[in-house]
Amino acid sequence: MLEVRDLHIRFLNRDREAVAGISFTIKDGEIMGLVGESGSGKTVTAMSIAGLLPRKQCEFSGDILLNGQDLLHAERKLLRSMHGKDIGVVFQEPMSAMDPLMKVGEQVGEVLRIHTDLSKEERREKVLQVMREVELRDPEAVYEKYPHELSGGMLQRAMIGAAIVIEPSLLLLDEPTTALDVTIQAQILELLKRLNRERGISMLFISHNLNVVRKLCRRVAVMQRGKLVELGETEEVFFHPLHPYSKKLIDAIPTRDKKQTEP
Amino acid sequence: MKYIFKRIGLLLITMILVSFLTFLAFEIVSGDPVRNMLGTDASPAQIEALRQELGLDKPFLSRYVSWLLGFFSGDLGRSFSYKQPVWELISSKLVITLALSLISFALIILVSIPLGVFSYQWVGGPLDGVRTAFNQLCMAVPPFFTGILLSWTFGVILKVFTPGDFPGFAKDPGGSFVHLFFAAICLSIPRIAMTVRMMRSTIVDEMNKAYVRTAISRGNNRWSVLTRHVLKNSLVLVVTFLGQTLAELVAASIVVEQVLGIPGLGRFLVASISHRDYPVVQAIVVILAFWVVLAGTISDIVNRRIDPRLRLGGEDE
Ligand SMILES: Nc1ncnc2c1ncn2[C@@H]1O[C@H](COP(=O)(O)OP(=O)(O)OP(=O)(O)O)[C@@H](O)[C@H]1O
Ligand SMILES: [Mg+2]
Repeated sequence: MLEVRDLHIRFLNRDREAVAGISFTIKDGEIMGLVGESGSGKTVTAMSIAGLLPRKQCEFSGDILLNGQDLLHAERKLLRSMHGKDIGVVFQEPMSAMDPLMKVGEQVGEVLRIHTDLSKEERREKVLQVMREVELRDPEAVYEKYPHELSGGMLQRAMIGAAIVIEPSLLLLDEPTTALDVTIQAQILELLKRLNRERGISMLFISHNLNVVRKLCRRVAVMQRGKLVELGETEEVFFHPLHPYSKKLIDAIPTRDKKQTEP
Repeated sequence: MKYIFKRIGLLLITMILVSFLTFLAFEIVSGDPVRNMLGTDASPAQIEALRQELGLDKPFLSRYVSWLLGFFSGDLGRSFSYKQPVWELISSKLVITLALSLISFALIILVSIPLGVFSYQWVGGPLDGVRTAFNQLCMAVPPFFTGILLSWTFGVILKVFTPGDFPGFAKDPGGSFVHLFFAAICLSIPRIAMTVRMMRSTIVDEMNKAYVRTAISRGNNRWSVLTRHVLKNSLVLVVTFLGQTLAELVAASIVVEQVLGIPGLGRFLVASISHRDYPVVQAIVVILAFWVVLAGTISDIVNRRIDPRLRLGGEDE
């Protein structure tokens, strides 16, 4: 279970707080959505949960607890032992998030290399297995490919595979589908849903598209200028938004879609 | 395969072009080799006879073409001043200069790559300013100055080697190596400083890329981020830079050969130019051009091994 309590983050070169006191909880096996417009602080929130905040460049306070373990103030060494093992991260641009000079298979298996003492062959076997699980066709061939030889959708599948190969307790997805076209986006959402159902991995799914979040998440938090302006059941927020800002986000969704799903 | 052919073609074109330009330069530049050889009191008949003997009476283009044909059949011509085949004259000197360049190059690689990584570790640290200043100093110090300094300390005072008296590989391989090693130090110091600086800035740039964040999110520590990801990504630029360095080294060794009295190609080139010994100069210039293109080709091939994206474009690998 992830608990975020009264999290504040301010970059030293900024006046305004990037994250201005937010609290939420993600239960085991739950997918929570986090939506908000550009610059609202979604990525900073996710990075602080992942322990990737550039600590020297900012002030921070509050608590981030993963299964009771404090992440926000944890020592570097402890964080490193949790990176990839307890928390997996998938970033927005799969192409730039991958090392261009390392084979995709090796990158997917990197977490295993760091956190287990499996032999090279055992790692390879696990990587091929997870590649099948994220529905990458012809995993043996994909293993040997370099990132520039794969499409964005395949790369994002590989990134997801890399993040879950060791079964983390939490998967952070920072706009994982934004850079992909609509069909691929739908496939990736299906994949995430299935992984959540079958493996019970908790996820924080970040997007600026409430419609996408609705397909995946039971609960959603709406973020604006560093604050959570709404937090609740996705359907509740979707149909009875309390905050004018959430209303604005929903109004942006095509009406045809809205009518179709109206109960 | 296609790539190799392209490279060889480029090599041939470069050498033909360079040799033509040197030929042309000597045609335009004043100074007659015949007068140079015979002295000022030679009779017109003597001059004419020698011109014919050397083939200088023929028109420019036919001279160039016959030189080119000779070159491709392995005949570099005969020296005007020494009346010997050019290849016999320069081959031993070529070996010395090549050895000097390769020793310098090995020094540059062995010292600057670890030092570049080390220097990155210092970024923002308390001694970073000192390091920058020292780096600037090393970059600015000209090889001839280091040459004088080293001959004085190690040659005159410590007597590790005798400046100006190069023993030769046949007579004393160890002594020759020591001699060349000191010359190589002079040659490599400024280039090591440049390589270190460029490695450091490349590593800093790479560290800000998105894949570094991914690597950290998987549990890599700072060192393995560096060695497993960043270093390889920085290497493409560094290898290109080292290729240029390798190309320049032969030319740069000319000065150092003078200062430390090493009978290499550089010294011989300078002497041959002043004697208007065209066949010798011509051969050396073409060898230098060959070297430059070769260095470029090598760095290209190495980079293709490092970066799979460079192998794009239908060429097999
Ligand atoms: N390293 C940094 N230094 C200074 N300010 C930063 C840094 N990273 C983020 N910020 C600021 O923090 C605020 C929140 O940024 P964040 O990236 O979290 O937004 P976001 O909601 O993820 O937006 P987007 O949808 O564009 O990804 C922004 O105002 C941004 O300028
Ligand atoms: Mg973001």
